[in-house]
Amino acid sequence: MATQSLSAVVQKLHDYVQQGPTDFEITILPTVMTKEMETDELSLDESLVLMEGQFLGMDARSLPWMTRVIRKDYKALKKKAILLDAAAGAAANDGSSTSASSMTDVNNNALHHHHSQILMATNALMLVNPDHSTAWGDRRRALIATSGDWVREMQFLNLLMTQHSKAPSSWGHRKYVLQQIVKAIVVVKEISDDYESKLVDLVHKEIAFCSKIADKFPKNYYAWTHRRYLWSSCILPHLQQSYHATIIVLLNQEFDALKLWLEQHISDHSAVHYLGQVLEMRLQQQQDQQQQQHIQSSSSSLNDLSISIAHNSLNLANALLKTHPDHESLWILRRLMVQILFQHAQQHSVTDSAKVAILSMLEDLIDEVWTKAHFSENNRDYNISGITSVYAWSFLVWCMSQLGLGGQDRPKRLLDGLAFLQSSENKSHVYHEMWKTNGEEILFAK
Amino acid sequence: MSTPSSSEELPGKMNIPAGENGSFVFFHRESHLKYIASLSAKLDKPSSYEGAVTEHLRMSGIYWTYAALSLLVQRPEADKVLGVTSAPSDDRPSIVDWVLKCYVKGTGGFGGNLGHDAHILYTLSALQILVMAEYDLNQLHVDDIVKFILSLQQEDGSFVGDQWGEVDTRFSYCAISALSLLSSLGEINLPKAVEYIASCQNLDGGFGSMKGAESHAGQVFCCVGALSIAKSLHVIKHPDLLGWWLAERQCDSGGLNGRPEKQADVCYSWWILSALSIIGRVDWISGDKLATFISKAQDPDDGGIADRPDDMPDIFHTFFGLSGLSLLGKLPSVFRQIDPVYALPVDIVLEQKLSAQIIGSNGKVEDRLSHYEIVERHK
Repeated sequence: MATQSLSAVVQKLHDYVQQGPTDFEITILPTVMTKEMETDELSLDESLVLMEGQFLGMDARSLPWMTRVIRKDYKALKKKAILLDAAAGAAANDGSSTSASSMTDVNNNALHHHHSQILMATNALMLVNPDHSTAWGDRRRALIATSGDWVREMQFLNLLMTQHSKAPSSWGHRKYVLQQIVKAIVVVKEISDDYESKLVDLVHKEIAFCSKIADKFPKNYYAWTHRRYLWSSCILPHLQQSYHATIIVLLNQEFDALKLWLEQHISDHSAVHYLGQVLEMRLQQQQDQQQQQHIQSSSSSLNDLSISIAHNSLNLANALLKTHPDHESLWILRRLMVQILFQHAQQHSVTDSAKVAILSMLEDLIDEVWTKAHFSENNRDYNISGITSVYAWSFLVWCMSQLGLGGQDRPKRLLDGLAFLQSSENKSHVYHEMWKTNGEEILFAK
Repeated sequence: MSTPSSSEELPGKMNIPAGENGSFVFFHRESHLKYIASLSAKLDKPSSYEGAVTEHLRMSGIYWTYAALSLLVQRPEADKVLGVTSAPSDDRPSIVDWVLKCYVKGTGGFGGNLGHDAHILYTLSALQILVMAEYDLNQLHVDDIVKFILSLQQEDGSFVGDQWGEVDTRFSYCAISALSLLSSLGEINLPKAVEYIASCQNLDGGFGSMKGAESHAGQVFCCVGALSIAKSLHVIKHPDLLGWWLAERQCDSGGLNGRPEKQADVCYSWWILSALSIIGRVDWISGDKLATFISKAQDPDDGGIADRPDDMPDIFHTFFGLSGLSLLGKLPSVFRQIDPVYALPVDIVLEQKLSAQIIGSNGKVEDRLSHYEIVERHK
């Protein structure tokens, strides 16, 4: 059957993507739209521009017609796929052996060519419609059939996501590709002497990518979820057994990276949540280590570690809040640290001395915040802004009601907090409705 | 005021109460009708760019359109406007016929558009459309569809979206809701499904897209909705904490955001209100302030609702904005109401005898939820 040739748009996009360096980015042009521009008819050369070898520029005004052309190619290939399937089916059913084998050869060649074309067409299609899940499926089928290079595919995704960071099925594709790459590393584990370093290298690359996306597209849910996904899909399953120390190193690296990140992205709740995950995993690893090595729970070094982790976590929040006291995410960070450490202190494996140390750190913090919040109206030393008061009181009633912190004066402090939240003018309605109708019930349930 | 007997008698523009002091906002019913009616003509045009880049989710787009229309006009009129059961023209099939054509033979699932691969998202949307169209689901390959959904459940109870293995709590909701529509909820390992959803609870009381993922209002709806259908709300460790997290989504503008320090968006009116309805804590947010925000996001001339005031409308936000107003009880009682668990008109839920569980609020339960199994709020 006649092979269809693909459009110039698809060919050109394929060439550019193949040629581009691995850290290419896609940019939508023009960067500034003026009224005169709207009526221009742009040529292909004007619509797809390689800029300074670093960017692939796609002109927004040409996206409609380019999309039309690309889709036409893709749909024609889909139609052909149906014919190819039918032909393959017919050849399989053909009784005569000689004609069947030569038909199979012809079919195999046609199929291989078809898969290559699908890869070219979807290379273009995904750049204009990155959430087209069936097209991603076609791409996966073609890669599997042609023993495609999954690392190369990851690079394609890296390019695509510089422009499209929120297409769910593109992130689903990324997870699939990642699994193929991990599989290839794991399958030669026994004979490979750099198994561990290959995995760690892959993880570092993925973390760096997630970081890059989260920087360009703040609070990108997919990037942060993918980063968390690395732990459950790659790191823990494949390194837990024999490379425990490596996991701890990775966790410590993430903790440090997030500390730096939050200093530069102070409203980033996604980072706050992920930091909580890292902290929980870090504490869990420590407990696992204790159990594995049958260490007596009176071991002072692991205790000290527990206490120092607690110290670092609380200080991280303290430092950030000192300079940015009016950011909701940072108060949530503080609350999360308190909650995780409180939980940790309840574990059997934590010694009494560590428990006491950690709980006293938490109570000291509550006291400090309470003092500031309580006296802020009347005492110039403690003066904090209205919105900060709201976050501070919210933090206090949360910790006191959910964790039982707050010392002897807890009931009175809870009532003070409730009174404040019921009357606050700063954070609009939330603090009226919820606290007006259900305040006492919520706060004194435990 | 006498109740109009047909939608034609309903005013094109009406007042919605939005404050204790008698304040109100405008609701541009007529414009929204115009907007919805013009959608398919606009999107199905071969030259439509918007249509091209949303082609893959057309099934869900039609569900949003049909459901939104159902909240504005009576059933027969909605069917006529969209050509639900009878073809609107020679070159366009009826919606029901089109949906059936999207069934992927041999797989048990529906694709997002003609010739697209089967996926749980579009399987649910397809069933929702058919049920609203009063199509007898028993005419479908029910066994195959159930088998498809069953095949998506993983060992840990989670659900993938299709053969390619992506896990997301959205898919848990779609699977559980779809099976409930097919009266086949018992076919999957429901306790395991519930166990996985429970494991997606975070320390802040919310739920994420997978275990360990950040709490997100959309995922909260999916998890709470799924638990409601599975009658397992008891696995929500701290409903007060969840309610607290949901209530904190309300911004100064009156709108709701999806996560801390993010912008308010009309679609969260649905994700959050429905979750609050299910756990009996709708009064934890200011309905008036929210209604005001939604109404400001309307396009009074061309119709439709946008994600926030002054932005361009789209059908997704139009549907969820209308649903939000419905859940708030702000739309006139003559309109059909939306059900917070199944995101279908309440009358359809009653007809289909769909079941779910709701947390009562001190013995009080909204009329629209009173047919469900009620569990009392516990300390």
